[in-house]
Amino acid sequence: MRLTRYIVRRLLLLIPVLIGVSVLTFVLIRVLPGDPVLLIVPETATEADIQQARERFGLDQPLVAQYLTYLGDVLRGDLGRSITTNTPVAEQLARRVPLTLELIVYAMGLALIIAVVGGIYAARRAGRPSDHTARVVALAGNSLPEFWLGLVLVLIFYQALGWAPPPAGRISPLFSVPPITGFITIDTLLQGDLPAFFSALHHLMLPVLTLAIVITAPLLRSVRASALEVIDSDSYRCAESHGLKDRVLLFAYLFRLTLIRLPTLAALVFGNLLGGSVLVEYVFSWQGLGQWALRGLLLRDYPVIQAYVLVVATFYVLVFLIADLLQAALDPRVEV
Amino acid sequence: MAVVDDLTHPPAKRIRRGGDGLIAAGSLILLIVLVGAVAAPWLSQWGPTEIDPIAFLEPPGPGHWLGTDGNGMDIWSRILFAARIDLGVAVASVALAVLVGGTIGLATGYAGGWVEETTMRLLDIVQAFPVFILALTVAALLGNSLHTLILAIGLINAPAYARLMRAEVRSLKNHIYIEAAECAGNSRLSILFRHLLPNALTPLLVIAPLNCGWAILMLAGLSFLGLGVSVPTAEWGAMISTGAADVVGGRWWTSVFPGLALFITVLGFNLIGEGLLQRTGQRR
Repeated sequence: MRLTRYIVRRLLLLIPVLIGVSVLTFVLIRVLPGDPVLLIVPETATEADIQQARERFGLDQPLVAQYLTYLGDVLRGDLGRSITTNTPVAEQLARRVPLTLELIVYAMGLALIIAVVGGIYAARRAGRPSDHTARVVALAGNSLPEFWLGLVLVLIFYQALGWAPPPAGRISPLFSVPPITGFITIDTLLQGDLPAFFSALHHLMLPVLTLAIVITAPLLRSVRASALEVIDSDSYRCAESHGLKDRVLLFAYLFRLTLIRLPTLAALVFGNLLGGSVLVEYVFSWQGLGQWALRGLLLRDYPVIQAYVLVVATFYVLVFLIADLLQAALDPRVEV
Repeated sequence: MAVVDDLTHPPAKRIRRGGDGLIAAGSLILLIVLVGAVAAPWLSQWGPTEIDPIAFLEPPGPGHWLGTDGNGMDIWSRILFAARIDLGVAVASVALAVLVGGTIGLATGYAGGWVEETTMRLLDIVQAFPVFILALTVAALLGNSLHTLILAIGLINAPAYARLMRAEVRSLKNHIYIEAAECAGNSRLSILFRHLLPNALTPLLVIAPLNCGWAILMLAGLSFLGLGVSVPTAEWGAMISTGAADVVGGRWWTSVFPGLALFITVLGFNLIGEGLLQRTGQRR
């Protein structure tokens, strides 16, 4: 009951943020120089044609009226139509979200495993060479521009070694996978098409690796720091001096206590990935959310950008809510 | 309380706070990059946008140490000249962020009340925005000259500094020395700038180097997407972007070398930042 109340309260707090974000987006993109209508009308269009196109998208209305119409539509679940392609934005969004999510969920999973294992390993050997190595590697990973790393991985694993597929698309063109969930690894499995599944994994390999390398650094550093804190704590030292087995110490004490701090940072990393996926998507020609938003921004496709920002901001807040709930579940001292 | 603590707990094992090595290594890297940037015209015989008409996409060799790009421009020379822009934009944008964010944080933290509440909620909104889209939008809005890029990257960074400064000021303003300063009849401005500011500034300056590294990556990322510096300005991200098309043909030098320069510079900033965090005891 208290949990439900907490969740409802947090979701209610989401409303003012989203309204603020939508107003800011709305105003920002409309003061951008460039007129989307001029991009879609034919070159021979007369002034009247342009005016008509403008009316079709409601762009002739005053800004406040436009916003209120937009807000009303969004509340009814209508995100509008793309100005440049004239298709419903919600439809495009539904197609794009799984692509990006698939990429970053796998990258997050991989990075979390490396960070937890590596971080605890480094903490248990604090001050020794292996610890220093882990930290230097993490620092270096944090300094890598992800778009360049992606290119280098393509050079090595596609160009030189031929292990990876060309950086275009998410499955070999030999396969056709009718979308069910939109997540290609899930869809291929649901249809029992194993060769297609492996082709999809193959295509995911490099972009996921690129993202994982870049995001592992902050996670590993945080895991190491909290593991060190646990190791230095009285309770851990007590357990240690009671002569508990190493395995028990590792899993029942160190592992569990270290994980408590992880959800908040993981949420931050996840949120940043979602809003920053565009560079890696660009390198690997991944037709996800990031590329969609970039195209929308370049063509001044107002409804597209508005929808993108709204979705990313919502995800961002939701991920933090989930992280807080997780933390409360992991740490009995934290009350929601 | 503190006294009791001291009595019951023996002083913690005196640990030498590391970080000096990291700071030295980072400073050395940045010094080399800086020398390269300043001495660029003397270290290379080619100009940053000078075209060698008989060398297009030439691999690294004696004529062009790091090869040439598809326009026949010398990669080594462009990398050197690019350091001027990348370093300049990074430092200038972070300085701007510290200035703007710090001022906002200082004022709101000291003022408190609804001013503080409103400002923080506004910052919430800005921070819930996808960073990259915000940067792209501001850059597109203001046009992509170097000044507007500095402005865009700096303003995006400002909320973080505002938060940090506000938190510092809030914890400092209840200290006895501030109360003493108030009792001594100092004006509000004097308390703000002579008593609060010097003490609250340290945490901002400690994270500034890390932020410089981030700002360079941001600038390079924007340029990589074609929204940063204008072609053919020598800038690392823009160079990688030009080189990206050559990768599939196996011509690696057009993108690998500028990326290395970018990576090493960011690493330099991060080493210093990490070292500073260790020295101030925020990280072990």
